[in-house]
Amino acid sequence: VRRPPALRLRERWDELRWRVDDARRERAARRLLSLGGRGVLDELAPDAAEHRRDAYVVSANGQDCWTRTLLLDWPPEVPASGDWLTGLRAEGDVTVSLHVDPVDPGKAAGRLKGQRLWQTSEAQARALQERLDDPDTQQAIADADALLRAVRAGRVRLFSCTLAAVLRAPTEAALDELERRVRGQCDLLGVPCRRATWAHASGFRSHAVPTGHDTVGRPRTVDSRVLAATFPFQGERVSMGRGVFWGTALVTGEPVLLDVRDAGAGFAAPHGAIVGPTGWGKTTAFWTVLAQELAAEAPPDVVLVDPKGTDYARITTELGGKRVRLGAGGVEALNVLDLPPVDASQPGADPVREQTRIVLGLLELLTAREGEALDPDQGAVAEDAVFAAYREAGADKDDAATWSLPPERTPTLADVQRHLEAAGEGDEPARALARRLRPFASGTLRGLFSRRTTVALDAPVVSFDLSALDRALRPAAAYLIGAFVWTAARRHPRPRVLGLDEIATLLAHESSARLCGDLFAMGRSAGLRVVAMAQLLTDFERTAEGVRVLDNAATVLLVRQAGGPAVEAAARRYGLSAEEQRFLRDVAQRGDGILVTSRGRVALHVEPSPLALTWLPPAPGVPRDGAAGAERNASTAAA
Amino acid sequence: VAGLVEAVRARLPRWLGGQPGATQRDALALRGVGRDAVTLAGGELRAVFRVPGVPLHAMPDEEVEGFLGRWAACLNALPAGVHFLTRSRSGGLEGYAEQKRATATALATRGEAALARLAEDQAAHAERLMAGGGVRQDEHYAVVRGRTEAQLATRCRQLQRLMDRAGLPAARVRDRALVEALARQWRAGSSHHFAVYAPDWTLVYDEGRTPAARVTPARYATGTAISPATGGRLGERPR
Repeated sequence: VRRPPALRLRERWDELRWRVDDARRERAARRLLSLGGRGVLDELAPDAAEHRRDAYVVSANGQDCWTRTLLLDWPPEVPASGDWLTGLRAEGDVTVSLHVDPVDPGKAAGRLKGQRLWQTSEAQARALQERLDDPDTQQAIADADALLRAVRAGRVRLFSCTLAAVLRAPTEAALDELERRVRGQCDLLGVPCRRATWAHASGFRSHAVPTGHDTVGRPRTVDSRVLAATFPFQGERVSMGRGVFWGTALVTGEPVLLDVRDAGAGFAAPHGAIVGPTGWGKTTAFWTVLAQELAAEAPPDVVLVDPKGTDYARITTELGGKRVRLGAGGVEALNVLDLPPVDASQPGADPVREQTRIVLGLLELLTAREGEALDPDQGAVAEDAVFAAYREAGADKDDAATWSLPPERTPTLADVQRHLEAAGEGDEPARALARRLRPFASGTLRGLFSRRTTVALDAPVVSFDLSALDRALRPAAAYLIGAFVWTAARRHPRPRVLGLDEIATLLAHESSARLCGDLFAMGRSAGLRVVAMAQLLTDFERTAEGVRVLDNAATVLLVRQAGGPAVEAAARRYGLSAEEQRFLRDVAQRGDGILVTSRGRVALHVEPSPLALTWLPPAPGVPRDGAAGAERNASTAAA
Repeated sequence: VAGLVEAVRARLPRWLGGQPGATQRDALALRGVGRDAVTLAGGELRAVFRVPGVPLHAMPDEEVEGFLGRWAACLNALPAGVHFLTRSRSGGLEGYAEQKRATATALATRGEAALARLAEDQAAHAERLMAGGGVRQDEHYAVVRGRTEAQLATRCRQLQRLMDRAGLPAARVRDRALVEALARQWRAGSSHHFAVYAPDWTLVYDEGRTPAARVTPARYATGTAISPATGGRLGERPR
């Protein structure tokens, strides 16, 4: 319904008036606060507070917060790993507080001497009574001696410390339940704890609020080694607090948010790699991230390579994308000879030679044996044939004015083959190459490789279905797609994401590996973000180009690894700890992984949203509801 | 003197410029919150530092040993009493969920229904995770004590230098961040909103965003009003 202009004008006027009023009120508020009388403390104060025997209740904004202070002691043996307090925090809204007061070394030495004297007297009394030595007393004397020496030498210092945990919950019942769980953790660690009965208000002020004023603690003297092992600041550093929500850190439960396109955050390139065997959540992880990139105000264009033909079918349909089925008898084709645009800003750029290199890569994939390159003679005649095909179409490699070639005049592989055959009359390498190229240029596979491009990247999501292709042809098809996207990205730079599944087949050939390396090294300049998936890290490490891919990946997600060598390769490359190796080998469940970034690494569980998950093909035996997922997370974190 | 003036002022009627204090102001045990320090009721000063977390669990054993060695060296050289505090609670995706909701609205307005549905689902998923305790956020603080401003400044510099050396770059919490840090502890419903109230309006601060003004009724008890909703406790809940 179109509203009358007068009404719209009135609405605009009202809005403007409200804004002016708001600004006026804010100014008045600031003036009032600056006058004193009512200060910020009045605003901080809770609306109501209630002291109870076993709790202190503060209410604000219509919500009650039941708090309880537990005074903790140190366990008999403090774990050297330093992270024993983390378990206590994981149970709910828990604040762990540690008041540290250094004891003057002179006073500390005096106290230790006193303790030693007392214990020595006890030992002597036992000797006078002709009783056997108490091993505990002897040990205590030895400990006191060693500590005294360390304190005198300045290696160790003594501290008077108070350790406490403040629990918070919205109701009394929830607080009791939280206390039960925290006490369970304390029992596990052997940490004695007791309630600050009738002192929960002081406990809250002393241990929950960062004001450093301890009024309830029962200080205990500990040395700096024990205190260092009681490290309170265990946490993650990978998350940027903005960007895509990758998942939940398994140890601390913190959300991991990353914006890989933010160069200022230390990401040299926005690309990514996901490594792990089939069935452990590579595609789900990729789609989880991609779905969030898509659900943005300025979503990128997405190009997906789908070797199985089922992974991205529903996603493409739901998002109104375009599904391109590549096959020998298919209707769609990509012409590898399409020229990239002439970039005036780069004087040294030469699109004909650059594209010729890409065409030679495809020829190598189509005609050379697996893992082998074209022999030098064949490479030379192939290059001549490609140049000749371009020249015939009007693009001379030596004349920059001719480098813009419209798609309808662009030569195809058939033209290259024709020039090879023409050159082959007296030249055996050219004749052999032309013979091998015949099925792709004029034979059964002509429809796929030797036609002008029929695909346009004009949909938000374009997925290439390679399932109709023979397995041996998939690397060539993936190469064709990669080259096509790279050309399109340079022609019209804008944010794009290219998902390359089974990149190992591309890395197996030198020329296609080179293209992958180029995409990862230079994609950023054209707004392209490439995400590669492979089963093993060694698939990348086998070639220099594969290593280049990993070096340019801002994020590498390692899901559960297939076995010992795979884990060792990951440990070697990223310096994984023994625990992390065990996690990747034995503990990680579907969707778990270690995310390696330039900001550090974190073990996480990927958290796809329920709707995003339904757009993926179902994996057998995988629970899809949130509760089951949360339970699984908890069990993995515990493991 | 300041306390006396304040006490007198609090007892003056409103028409004479009196501003009665909040009912539970004494519960805070604070005298004031300055730009970069908190003054306790007894007059002592406190500086608050925000400390980043350290992923000890993701470090190889030798690295953990090295880090804890540096941390022990930092502790050995601590100037005076220091309070280390870590709060862990559900949350951490508030901003993300809010942004996704805004995106969903924008996408729906543009007619991109599928993407809008996806964004909405992601926002709801984040909220579910927070409500169920599936994601948690940690706040780490170090608090330094001082009797005078000069002493506090010296100790702060010392602590910062020591923590930097240990690999824990501590950042001083100042201004609004300092008030918000305290508000997050005292005001249960203020997990991501901190409100400054006045008699006839409320100024709502949203963490990390520009302040926005809203008009709401006052929250202070007038006269002897005791709300039945509080079960007989003094103080009136806001409507």
